[in-house]
Amino acid sequence: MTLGFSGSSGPHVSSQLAAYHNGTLSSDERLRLRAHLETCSLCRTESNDWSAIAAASRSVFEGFVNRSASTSANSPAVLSTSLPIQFDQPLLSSNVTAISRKGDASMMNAQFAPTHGAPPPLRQQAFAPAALLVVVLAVAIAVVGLRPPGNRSDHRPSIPAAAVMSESTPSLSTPNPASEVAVLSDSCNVEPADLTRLDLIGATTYENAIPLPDGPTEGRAGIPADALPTGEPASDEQITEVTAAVQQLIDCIADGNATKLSALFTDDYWRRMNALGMDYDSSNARGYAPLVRPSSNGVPLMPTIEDVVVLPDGRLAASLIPTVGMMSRESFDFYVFAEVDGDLLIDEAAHSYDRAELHLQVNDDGFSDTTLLVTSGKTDLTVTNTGTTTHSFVVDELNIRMELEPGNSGTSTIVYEEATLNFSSDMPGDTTPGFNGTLTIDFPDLDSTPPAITPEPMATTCDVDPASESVFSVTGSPSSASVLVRPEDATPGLLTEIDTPSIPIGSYVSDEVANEINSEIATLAACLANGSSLQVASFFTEDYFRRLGGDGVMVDPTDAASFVPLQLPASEAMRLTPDVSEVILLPDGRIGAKIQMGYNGFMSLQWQYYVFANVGGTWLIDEATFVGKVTRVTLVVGDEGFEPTELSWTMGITELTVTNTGTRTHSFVEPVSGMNIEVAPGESESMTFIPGISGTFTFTSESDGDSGPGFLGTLVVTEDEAATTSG
Amino acid sequence: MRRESRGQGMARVEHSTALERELLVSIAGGDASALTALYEQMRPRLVAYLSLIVRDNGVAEEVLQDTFLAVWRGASRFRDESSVRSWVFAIARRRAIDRLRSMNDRFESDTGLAAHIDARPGPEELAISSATQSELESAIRQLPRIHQEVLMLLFAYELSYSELAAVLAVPIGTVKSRISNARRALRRELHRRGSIQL
Repeated sequence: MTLGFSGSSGPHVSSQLAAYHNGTLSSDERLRLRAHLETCSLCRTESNDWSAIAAASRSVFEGFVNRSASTSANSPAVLSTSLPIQFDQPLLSSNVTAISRKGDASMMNAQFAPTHGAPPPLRQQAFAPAALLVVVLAVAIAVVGLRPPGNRSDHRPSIPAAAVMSESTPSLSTPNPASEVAVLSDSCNVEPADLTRLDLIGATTYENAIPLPDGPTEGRAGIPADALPTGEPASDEQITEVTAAVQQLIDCIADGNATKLSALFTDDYWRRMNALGMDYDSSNARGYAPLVRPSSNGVPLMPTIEDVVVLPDGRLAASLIPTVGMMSRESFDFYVFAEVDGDLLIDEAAHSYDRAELHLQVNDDGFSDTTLLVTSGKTDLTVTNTGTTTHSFVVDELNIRMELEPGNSGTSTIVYEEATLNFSSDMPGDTTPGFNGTLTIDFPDLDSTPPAITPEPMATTCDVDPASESVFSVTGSPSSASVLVRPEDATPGLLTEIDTPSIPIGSYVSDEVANEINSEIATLAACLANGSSLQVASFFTEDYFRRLGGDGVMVDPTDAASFVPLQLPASEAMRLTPDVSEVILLPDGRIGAKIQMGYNGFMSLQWQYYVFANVGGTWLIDEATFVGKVTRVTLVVGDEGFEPTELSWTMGITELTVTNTGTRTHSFVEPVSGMNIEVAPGESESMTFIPGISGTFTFTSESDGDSGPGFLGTLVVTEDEAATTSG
Repeated sequence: MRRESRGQGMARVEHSTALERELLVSIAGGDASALTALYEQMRPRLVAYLSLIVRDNGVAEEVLQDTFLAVWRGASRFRDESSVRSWVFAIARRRAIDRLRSMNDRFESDTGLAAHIDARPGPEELAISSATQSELESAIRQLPRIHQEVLMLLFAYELSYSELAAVLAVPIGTVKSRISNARRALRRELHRRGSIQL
């Protein structure tokens, strides 16, 4: 069972916060973001920042707008070279003044009022800007014959009247959500506790479920996962209660009030802490509440909550897994909750871990590896002496010393602490450099700032080596588990949709890595336009093709469109401009990124999610999917025609299933793309479309004998608002 | 059978107000009063925006005239693929940069603008919201132009990301990067001024 960021997308929300505070998110996006803010303290902090920035920006720039409006409308001509938002003087340029001297208000009225109707109020003022514009136009028209390139009858802009009539009011008047955020940020809503109870000692109501470690220093260090207690699966209601209790803990850590924070723990919790001889700082939860938090920020993110169980003594227990900012899931926290006066409080807690293993050999020349790297929470380091004399393995800072006879092995457990330490052998004669090394224990920091991606110049040539055709016939299972989890009812296929919440979470990558991904995609775009299908295939891992095979996708090696989930250019002249964003490091070490493809300067409505794996130093596409909702539509065709004869699609992804109930073969010609789907009598066929333009079209059948009026249908394609705003 | 059709995804990115569109239809039909009406509606914010770019209100007014001449001439080419306001703002921005280019030493290309982006790691643990409103306003006034531009378009004009992308002529991913960089630069400025502290 996995809980966690329900309906949220972890660090993805950062890029939406500015839009949230300028009111341009769709209502669905706003609701999703708001729900996420309720569960994410760090995001609320950032949201509060944007709220403050928005208010200050409005004050600065709107004040400037007002000044600009008033100064030019009543302007003596004064020039300034100062930064505009610092100026206080009314301004008008010398050039504009010179133009305006060619006429005055009365002249303008005389010239233009009969032609253009009632003069606007500003024409009553000398040097009024609207009047200036009319003067400029009048001069231009009179002198150079400047005209709009058309007249009322044949050169109107191509804006459909229906589109004009159906437009809704834009989001300019959307209320600022700042006040809601302010409420959300004050969510440590508990009564402060008496800190003297932190000194409680004595017997506890429940026996320790978590086995007591051997010594006080192990109290925080953790309990092996296989030593943790087990129980029966909890109910959904209990899971909800545990989730709320964990969120409350995080909110109160963010709040920073020790007396409120301590109220989330039972009296027995402190008795247990004191029994362990813990030396903790009551004002710093890090000292007594084991909860992994990014080292660059004191506030932990909401962990994934797994394995919520009811212990034999009736208490609830859960594993709290910090999925954000970590390379592995081997290190986590185990919490036991007891109900006290109707509240679920923390009764026990310990850092826990799945043991990782590291093997090192030492012989008479030294260690087999002198630069050890440990990245997981706890690692069993086994050293084997393959030499002919006794050697040792010593890390002074960790109090580790193993003396190994020839042929013997020793194991020592390295508990997570960020450090770079020296190790060596201290046996006489082990003095050469090979007997000295460094042990780095690293815990990757969470980076909540999106990487800066430098726009790639548009690539026009595909300068990559083609893949071998054998890549299309690879078999077996992929080496990595798929992180793009498709819905159970999704139809197998390349164009399978995936919901946004199921996009994996992770920490942002460095600018360097993000730009490598961006460069890779830019080159892919060039190869899609100008390269061969085998060149395009070289951007994908073998596992990618294994996954396609597992999904039942039939790949045509000569047609990149059969295996690339990207809208392809209609022609070589079509300009592809991919937009790469949300580049994150996934927990399994791969990279995830959102790809939105632009055409001739316009962004596609649809977007894709790619997962990249590093193969020989190059990031290759390992998984990919379209993201968004697929609308499934059915159409029946018989010998008399289609039923229904009117279809209404959005510009999102539409999967059409055509069933032939007639006695001969019929077809359906999709009018936007021209794709044809033939259906034999009694059969059903499916096809997926992404209509790229809106409008009203006529669909037909091209099969012999299908000439009656029943074989003419109307397809109305409308904009998909959700898809439009999803980018 | 399973085949896939990939449409030629011409995104109709944003919505315009009905009024702006109607005005543009009239402008394309040769109605100068519609141009005046659109001008009066958009002028205050446009001139403020242009002043931010060219740093001279007089030049901004000149560019404004150029912009509306371009609107007059180009109205029939508007294809409803962006909002009217982002279309006009994009024209204005290009005209402003052209004007700066013609002024030689005052020209700053987009590449030059991007050089102002402060991508150095900042004091990330500091909350901007802990600064006072006046401290924030003062710091915003001292930001490089590229950051001011983003904040102005975002919060004073409430442009969506896709409208911002259209105005700045950059991908949406770059828009997001610029937004993030603006926040980072503001935090750094506040920290430098001692408005927020470790």
